[in-house]
Amino acid sequence: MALFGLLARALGVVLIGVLAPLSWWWLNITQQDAVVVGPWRSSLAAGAAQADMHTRTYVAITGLLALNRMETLYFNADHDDNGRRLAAECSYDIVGGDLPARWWSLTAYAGDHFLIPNAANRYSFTMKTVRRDASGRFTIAVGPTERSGDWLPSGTAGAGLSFLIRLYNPQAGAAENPAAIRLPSIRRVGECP
Amino acid sequence: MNGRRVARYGVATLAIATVSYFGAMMLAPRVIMTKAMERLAAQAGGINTLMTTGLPDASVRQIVKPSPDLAYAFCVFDLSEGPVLVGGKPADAYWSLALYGANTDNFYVANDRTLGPAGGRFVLADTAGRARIPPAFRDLVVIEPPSARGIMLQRFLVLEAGALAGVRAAQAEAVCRRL
Repeated sequence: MALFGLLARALGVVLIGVLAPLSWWWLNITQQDAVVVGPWRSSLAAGAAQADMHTRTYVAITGLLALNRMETLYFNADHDDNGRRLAAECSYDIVGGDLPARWWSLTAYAGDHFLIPNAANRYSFTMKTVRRDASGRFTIAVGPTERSGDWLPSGTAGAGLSFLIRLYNPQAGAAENPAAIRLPSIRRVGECP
Repeated sequence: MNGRRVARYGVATLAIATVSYFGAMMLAPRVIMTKAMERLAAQAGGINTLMTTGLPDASVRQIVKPSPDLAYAFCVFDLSEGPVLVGGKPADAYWSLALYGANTDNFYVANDRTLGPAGGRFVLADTAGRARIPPAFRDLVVIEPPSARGIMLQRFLVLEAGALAGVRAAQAEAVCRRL
């Protein structure tokens, strides 16, 4: 019994020792060293030689082989405008205008950071493919069931969901001050099942 | 549990936390990059061997967050046996050639605007390897990577399905081989 108690305490020490600092890092890395625009976050040091070990680890896990920010700006979102975690079983409208880059795209990913399987093989909309209204604004519908207009499938319930905006060759002002970029809003539509 | 025992557990927890935290931070990028290089080299059929791909779909799972609008040309370079030639040229839309070190850093990138429609070729060599660059390649720009191994990745934007033939032709001009 005494041996069991000792082993249990040792296991607790090891688990807390390993999990607590890594959890603390994960919570902090998503808050620090990042530009935040609404629900979108961009790590400015991604890919750059001046990236510290925390950023390198984060980028290695979530965006290996990223380009540096003068070449491409990446904005990731895993929450909606109201701070609720994105879910594949929910529906969203992504509403915005053209972005300040030579070329831009918006892609949906599953929680494992890979493209979401779907019958239409549709994974993204780009400045070339998205439809705009008379005022130049677009609405991309995301969800498990097809909707009219530009629709992106969100995949299997429980599989996780995130969006990534890529700005290739961002305009000079955008690269220097990414926080000033007007990025699309992410609005949940209706209630989640 | 008395105070001395609690302190002992606290110190042990702190020690494990410190080691695991800094160990993970220092090792994770290199371990993940090494795994990625192994996968990409296996897919290409070897080190210093070029591989081209079409537009990725949901079945592509070598590297996280592939762009579904880009075709790629890539290789894992290794300078341990001498300099490596890399290069390529754009099709008719965005193209870039990026170099990554073993620690994940994007230490070099050029694109169709900076290099022009002819693209460019470069020699990757470390300090000792510069003397081994063959005379025919000594006029090329020499880039010294921060590590002997790394990844060369070219991105070709495919604006529409009809543009794929032009991208295929440009991919055929890409090069990655030991000199």
